[in-house]
Amino acid sequence: MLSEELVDLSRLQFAITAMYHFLFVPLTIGMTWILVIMESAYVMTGKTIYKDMTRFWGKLFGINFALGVTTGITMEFQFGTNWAYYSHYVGDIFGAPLAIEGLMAFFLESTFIGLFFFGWDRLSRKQHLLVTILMAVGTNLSALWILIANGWMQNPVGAEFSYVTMRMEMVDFWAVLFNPDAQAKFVHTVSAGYVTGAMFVLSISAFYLLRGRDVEFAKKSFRIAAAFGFASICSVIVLGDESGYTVGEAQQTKLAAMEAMWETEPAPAGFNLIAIPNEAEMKNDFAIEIPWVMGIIGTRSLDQQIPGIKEIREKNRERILSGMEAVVTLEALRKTPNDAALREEFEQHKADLGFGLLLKKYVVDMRDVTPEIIDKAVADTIPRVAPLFWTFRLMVAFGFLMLALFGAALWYSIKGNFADKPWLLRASLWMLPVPWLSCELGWFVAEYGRQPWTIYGVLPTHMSVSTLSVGSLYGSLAGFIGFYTLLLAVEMYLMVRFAKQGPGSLGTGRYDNEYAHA
Amino acid sequence: MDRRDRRLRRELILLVIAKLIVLTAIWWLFIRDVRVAVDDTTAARHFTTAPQGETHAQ
Repeated sequence: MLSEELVDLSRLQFAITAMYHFLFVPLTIGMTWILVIMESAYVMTGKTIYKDMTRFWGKLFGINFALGVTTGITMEFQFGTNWAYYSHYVGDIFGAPLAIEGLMAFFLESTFIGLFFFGWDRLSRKQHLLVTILMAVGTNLSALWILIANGWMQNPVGAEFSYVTMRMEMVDFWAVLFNPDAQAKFVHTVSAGYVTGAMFVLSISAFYLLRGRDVEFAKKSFRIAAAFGFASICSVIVLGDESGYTVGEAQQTKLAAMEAMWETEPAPAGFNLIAIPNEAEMKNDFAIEIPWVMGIIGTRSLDQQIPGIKEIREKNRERILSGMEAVVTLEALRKTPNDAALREEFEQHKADLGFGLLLKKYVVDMRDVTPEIIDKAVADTIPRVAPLFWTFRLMVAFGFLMLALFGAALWYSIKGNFADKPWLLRASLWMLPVPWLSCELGWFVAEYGRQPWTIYGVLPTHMSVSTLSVGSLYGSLAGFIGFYTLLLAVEMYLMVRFAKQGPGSLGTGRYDNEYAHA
Repeated sequence: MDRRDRRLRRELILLVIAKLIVLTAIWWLFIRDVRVAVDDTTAARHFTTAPQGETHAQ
């Protein structure tokens, strides 16, 4: 059995690197399409200011890309070192989208980013616009393949366990590709990236307007960011709802924990707007409930029930008992692989193998399992409710706050008087960190809510971890944190420097502060 | 491309090189020797009976 410290450290290391990585990613995703919009305006109108906008915001995009590129590679290191059993068990499926991402999307993205920066004097207007569009497509394709891999971790379709190779094997590539969880997660995540890009442009433009500098440039940038941001935040909310629906279909445990639903209520279930979950007694000490809403969001119907945590626990108990049989049969089958009766018995319990493996946290041999150990394993199947409940609500609150901001920004942009609204400009400036916070909270809900699994219902987290020394994990953790913190500090320094410099940094002679920072 | 753009380009190139050096150093220090070889036999031991006696680097 592995020590809990080892499991927790491996999880912490992966979580920290992923969260640092995702500080860079959403801005890259969002900025590419904003650049496409700005450059399209330049090609259609021929106005130089749109070219300057594309080049200036493109410069900030370039800084973010240069800082962010390779930050994801440390996670790939970890698949090999910290998660060797995971990599063996599901590498056949998980590896495919990662490889396609590297071969197809990453090369496409990198090639066109190079052409974007160095092609201004070598390509025609339309050719350069095509390059910018392909850069955006490449960036989004990158996200697509990564999220197909992650979607499979949430809802492992199109694969079967083989007792010969002791791993999951892909049986239906198209099921993996068109996994509803992956598709919902993709559109929700890239839309969140678009919101991040829009907020970035909106905030910095608001800063220029508050300072009364580069006014025309800032106004045009602000309008584009307001329109794009409003469309994107509407997409995030609508597609987030779709994402919630797919969670209700495939991950009932996560949904019940996110909503602090302890009991199975008559359909349609109410939505706990605010609650104080009491995990020990499996009830809410206090709750404000809105009738019907959860049932409609979670099932898209008025007559389907959403199972509560207590009901899910009892179902999981049955699956753990069946899973015990699967593990014992698997052990026998490995010794006598041609025994038809054993094969048949294993097939009967195979779907619950992962639940049987939950017991391996407490015992080495299934024959040592006691009712108390089964109780512990049953309790493990439910992630902690309070962190999920509150994190999800905070993310949603931030989403609606951004909807209000982008709504107001768009409204006053249409009316043409947003520059005379200092409160709107200040709100736009101070809301700059909100999309990043929302993205990180969203990932917390997705990943913490999947616990105790790395592959939902298939592979428990504690069985995925490599048997490394705790000391080496502390060492690499410190190395990763130091590395990422340094990158973040350099990113902040460069971004602030060039944002303060403004479009004057283009050296065209058309903007304020032209020579102030030369 | 003016002087400031050239400076930014130089800074970003240096930064990417520095990143590659740091990543290589991290790999060299913490990753290179950490080999947890898993095949169907070790996986079977891990997932069914005791993983006792397995030999792993570090």
